[in-house]
Amino acid sequence: MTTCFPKPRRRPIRTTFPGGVHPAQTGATEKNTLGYTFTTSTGPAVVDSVYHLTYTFAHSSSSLELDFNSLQNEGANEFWGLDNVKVTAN
Amino acid sequence: MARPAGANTTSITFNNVAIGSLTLNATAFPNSNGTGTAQAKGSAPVYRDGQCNRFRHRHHGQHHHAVEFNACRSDGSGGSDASPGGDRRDAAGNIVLLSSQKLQWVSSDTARAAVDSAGIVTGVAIASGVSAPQITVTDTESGKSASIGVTVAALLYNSTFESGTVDSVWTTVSLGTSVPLHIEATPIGDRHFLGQLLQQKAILTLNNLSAHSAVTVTFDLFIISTWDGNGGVPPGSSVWGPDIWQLQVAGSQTLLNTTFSNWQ
Repeated sequence: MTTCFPKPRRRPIRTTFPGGVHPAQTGATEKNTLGYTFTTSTGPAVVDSVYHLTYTFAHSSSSLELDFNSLQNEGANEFWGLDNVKVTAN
Repeated sequence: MARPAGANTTSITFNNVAIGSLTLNATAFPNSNGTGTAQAKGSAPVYRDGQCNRFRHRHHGQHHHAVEFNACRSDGSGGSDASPGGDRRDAAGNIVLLSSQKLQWVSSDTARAAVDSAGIVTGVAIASGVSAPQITVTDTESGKSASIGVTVAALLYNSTFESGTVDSVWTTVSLGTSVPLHIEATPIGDRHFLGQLLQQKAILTLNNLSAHSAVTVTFDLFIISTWDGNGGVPPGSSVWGPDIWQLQVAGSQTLLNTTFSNWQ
């Protein structure tokens, strides 16, 4: 469970920053299924999402470094994680 | 059907058997016209596999016109197995059953992909595109054959994090408030994952890779708690955001640069 100071309930947006604007959780394969809750001014709510992502890119070097970067605005109540990470080459 | 004179067994052929699970039921009657009190009953489950050559059945003499591959797995990671599936069809497009013993499987390049007598393909070395080995199956009775190209990919890394430990290929760099890399389980589903992480970079480094031309990375990204997308009120302000997440190939390119929001 994740709790913090009550945030006002609002309707922010997701975007392909700084590209087009989309509703929250657009493209998520799962919405509010992991069980993480947050207490807002209207009470506790489950707030999480899962995105299944796949990228293929040209690469021929003998070493590979993938950087998963999180630059979220708040450092105390905005979390993330990775699961089912698979890398293949051909 | 009537029991043949002087024999205890007989057979019946079912044409155009549906793919999937079936149950064969038989009841024995004392009279040849199927009347009288039933003397015995029996049933047996069977499975008609239309994807891979698993169905064992006597060839019943239909002439098949073509051998077709369908979308059973056509690629596999190096060292793992896959089996191209196929249906045998006659000129009218009807599925024709035949013995697996009459099928001959051949790989055009055994240095990249091998295939055994059952049609199981094993990846040996990376191959794709023009270098993709062709797997050919031939019905030795009719001479009909078909081929399919297989992609062999090398598995560089694969983790579900269910072991509960962070592999040594992972490191982290703080971009603000951060925590050490660790594994947690979700409150619902007990799914182990790398996180929860904060304002930081999780780095996956893979070395000593064999020759290749492309890489594919697949993963599930968990976005947890109060992510605010582009920002608060008004949208775009820096009150609550932006909450940016990126995936980059170090020294090369950015694959994803976006914001996320969990607020519906």
